[in-house]
Amino acid sequence: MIMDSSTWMELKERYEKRQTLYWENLHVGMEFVPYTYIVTEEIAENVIQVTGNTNHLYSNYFLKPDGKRLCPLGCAVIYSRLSYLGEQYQPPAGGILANMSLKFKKPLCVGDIITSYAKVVSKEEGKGRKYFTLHIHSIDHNNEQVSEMEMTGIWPR
Amino acid sequence: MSMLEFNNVNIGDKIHSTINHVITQEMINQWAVLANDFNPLHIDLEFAKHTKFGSTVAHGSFTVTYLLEMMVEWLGMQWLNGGQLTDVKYTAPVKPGDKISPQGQIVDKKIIDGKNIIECEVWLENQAEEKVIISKATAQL
Repeated sequence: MIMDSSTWMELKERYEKRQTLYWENLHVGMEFVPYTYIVTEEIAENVIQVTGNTNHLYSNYFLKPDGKRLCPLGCAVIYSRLSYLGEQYQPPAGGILANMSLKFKKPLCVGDIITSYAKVVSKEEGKGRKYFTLHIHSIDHNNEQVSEMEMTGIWPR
Repeated sequence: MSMLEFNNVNIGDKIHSTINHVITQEMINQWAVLANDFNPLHIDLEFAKHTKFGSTVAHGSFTVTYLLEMMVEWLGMQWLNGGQLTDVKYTAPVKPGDKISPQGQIVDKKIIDGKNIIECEVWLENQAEEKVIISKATAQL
């Protein structure tokens, strides 16, 4: 993935124009607008390149019996995390991921159209920190579950 | 890729991984694009300097991929079809220049409802052999 600095800056500036999601906006039980993510050849290639992944399973030479190309699981982490932000929001600067769990139901493939459903399952404050936990389940275009994720983020102070 | 046989693995067996990488700011910047996550903690050196980390840190969504890929390297389709990475905890930041490598070992094997299940402790460590992510991995063989 080779991106010149001006394109990178443009993407960054576009991101910074997103609305900030505030702590007050989150409540337990809250469900976000379903997020759609299309797993393209380009995304698969870029994840492979950025992570330095050399596993032959992801190459064009290894195809599943149905002729589909496998995609690295990094994509599942990406679409799961984006599921609560969509194309509209950004979290406040400085927040971090505290922990997560990921369950993979079936391989992720190029061409899959993933829809993720995110829900706030807990929101807590303690020891000067604010935590929130999301549960995200994702299905493909055949309505089959592909992954499930739970992630806890620490909201910045 | 040959399948790992349940009868051929034992508690205490190490996961052999060839994965190791030096994380660079460029990799982090590129991940920011892929993940659409331009949190300044990851990409803005001046902002990050004033945080408790003292420098930029890699995205958690980025570094966890190395644990996932160790499992794919080891188990192949057996991992892609039903693998679970649970209780992922970020115990230390990964900063530009850190050399990271995923590690793991089998801590349990059992048969549940006729399914051969292995459980592993897995972690990502840095060049100082400090665990920066710890987690559990479960797969069916």
